[in-house]
Amino acid sequence: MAATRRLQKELSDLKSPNCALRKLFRDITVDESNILLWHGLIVPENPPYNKGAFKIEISFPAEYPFKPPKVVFKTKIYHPNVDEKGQVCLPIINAENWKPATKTDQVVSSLIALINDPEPEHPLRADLAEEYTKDRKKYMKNAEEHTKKFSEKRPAD
Amino acid sequence: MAASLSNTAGLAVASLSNHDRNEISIVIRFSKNQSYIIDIDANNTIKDLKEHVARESNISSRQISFVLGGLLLNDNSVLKDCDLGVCTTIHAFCWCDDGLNSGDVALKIPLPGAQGVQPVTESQIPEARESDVDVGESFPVHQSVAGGSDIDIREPLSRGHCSSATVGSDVDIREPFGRARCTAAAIGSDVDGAAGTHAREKTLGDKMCSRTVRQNECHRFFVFCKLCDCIRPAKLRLSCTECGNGAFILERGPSNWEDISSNTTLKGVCTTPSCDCNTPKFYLRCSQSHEGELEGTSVVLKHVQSNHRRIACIICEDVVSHILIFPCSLGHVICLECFRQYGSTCLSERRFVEHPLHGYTLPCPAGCVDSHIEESHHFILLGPEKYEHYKMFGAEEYVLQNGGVLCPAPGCGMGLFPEENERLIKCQECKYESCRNCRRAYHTGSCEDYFDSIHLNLSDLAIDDERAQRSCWETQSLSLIEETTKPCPGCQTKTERSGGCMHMVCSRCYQEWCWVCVKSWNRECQASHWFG
Repeated sequence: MAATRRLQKELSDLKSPNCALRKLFRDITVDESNILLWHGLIVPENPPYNKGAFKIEISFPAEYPFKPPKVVFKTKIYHPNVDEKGQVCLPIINAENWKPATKTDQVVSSLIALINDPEPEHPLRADLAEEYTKDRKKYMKNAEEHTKKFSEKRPAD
Repeated sequence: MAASLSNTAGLAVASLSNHDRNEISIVIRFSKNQSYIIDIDANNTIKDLKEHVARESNISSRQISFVLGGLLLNDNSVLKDCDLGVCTTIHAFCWCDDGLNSGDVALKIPLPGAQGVQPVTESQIPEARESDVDVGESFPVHQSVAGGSDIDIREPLSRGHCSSATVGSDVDIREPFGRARCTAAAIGSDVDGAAGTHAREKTLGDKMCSRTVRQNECHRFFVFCKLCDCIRPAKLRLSCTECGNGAFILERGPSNWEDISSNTTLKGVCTTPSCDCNTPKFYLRCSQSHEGELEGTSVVLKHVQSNHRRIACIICEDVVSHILIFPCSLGHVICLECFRQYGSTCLSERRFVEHPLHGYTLPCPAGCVDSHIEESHHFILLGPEKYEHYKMFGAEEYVLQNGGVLCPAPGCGMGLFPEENERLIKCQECKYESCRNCRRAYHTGSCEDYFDSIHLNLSDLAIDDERAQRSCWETQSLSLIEETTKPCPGCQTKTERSGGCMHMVCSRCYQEWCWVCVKSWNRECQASHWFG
């Protein structure tokens, strides 16, 4: 199966000490019986999200890489592009845009970029997008409080 | 050494085996009715072979010339370096005392001018890499059948052939042709004939590229052979366009796909005395030995190649022996197994694209601009069932892209091109009459009223049991479709949502629409019901 072989390679690349994402995307765990389901921790660098870390789940279809993976936040996040259920719409894994040559590290990079810099013009939560656009100070305060309250602990190193 | 005369143009020789590893069987073919099977030690030279044939045929060895793949064989070439497979056919012709065809062969061959051959020593020819050799394991031993000039495709046009200084490791692997194949330079310098045929031939032979190539270099061309029902290495053959003679001498070796196409500008000389034709006809055939009429039994797979550069597949990252290379500037490589999966997945999701030049096809998996499979026969690799689907979908897509509609009658699907403003569409095939707007049976009144009426009327109808059963079945199926699908607001195509968000993109008309509102996707949808 192309999916298994490819995912094993991608996994070992992401876990390698040379991986550019090693500080931003870590603690990658994969169920031994199901390589199609990954869990990991996103560690954003920009405020207000740099006060915590966020668990994500990446699920790959059996047809991977010919069909895109799905990404869901397992940790609550105060973000205009992530809805209350943790669902996020990333253009790179949109069925129309998906290219089989796209790798998971690119997907994760794109996700981290979106978290660091919200796109209020394509919101999933219109209320947060409005707050982000109209009252950035209030947004930052709320988001930081939310992050401190709900997010995961950032790794020490 | 042993020789025997065959009157069947060597067709029966494929089963001959060589007891001695160095001994090879060669079919020397003068004409349809005159061919010789020669068993000869591979360490002999072409000159030795000529003398051998001379003894068999009573023709002076000085008058005999050999042509393989459109090129004259040089007297000094050693047989084992001459790219000969099992029972390869070498075409032969005789030089008469007053020159070939009682005319001047040389005059018919255009002079290549300044691109003359640079004499190069053997040491300047790059070594074939050892890694090039592995292909042979997965493919059966090459065999040739008689008729037409055979070129063993393992080496026909590759870099190692050429005695030219420009040959090097920079040969573009997307091109199965070596770039710097020698040209038949200065052939016309000895046209007076006074110096005798041997001298003239020597000029030809020396100036033509000598075929010094290694036996195990990888295959360069592949076909899908319908007789073998799989991919096979191919052999390039050529013959005279007019008389079909395989002893046709090319002015130079082909260097690209255009050179071997039916519009080739490559010229040469036919050795048939009465034939003035200078245009060769190329064809690629399965390298396996097949008997009988071979026309149309194999299709050329121009994107498939041996992976002699050991490039990893863009999908699975494995390095495999046979790959498909997309025509983008980067030449993205996909292994055949991943190509099958890529094609199958895209086909089932109707993600092939309609290209103005190449038809219904697949883009490069990396998304490179204008990099598509350029020849539809590659999709035969998806398997017979998928290939049938591919052909059907391709035809449907063509109809839809060009303003046509498909007959909605179950099992029909005929492509129709109705008048622009006509709501009634009558199928020419099954005579079914449908409504252009709702794609149901043709009706008077609005589409909504009609849909309500077919549901209401059913219970009122008094019809015979059999008819009622059938009708119920179809209605049930219709209801199921109505329940599980929503029509695209752009083209009315009944669309099923199998997962993901509510943001739909029609696979037929590319309209972006909202599954909740069944309207064009807008900011309100984005904010309120992206995920329902």
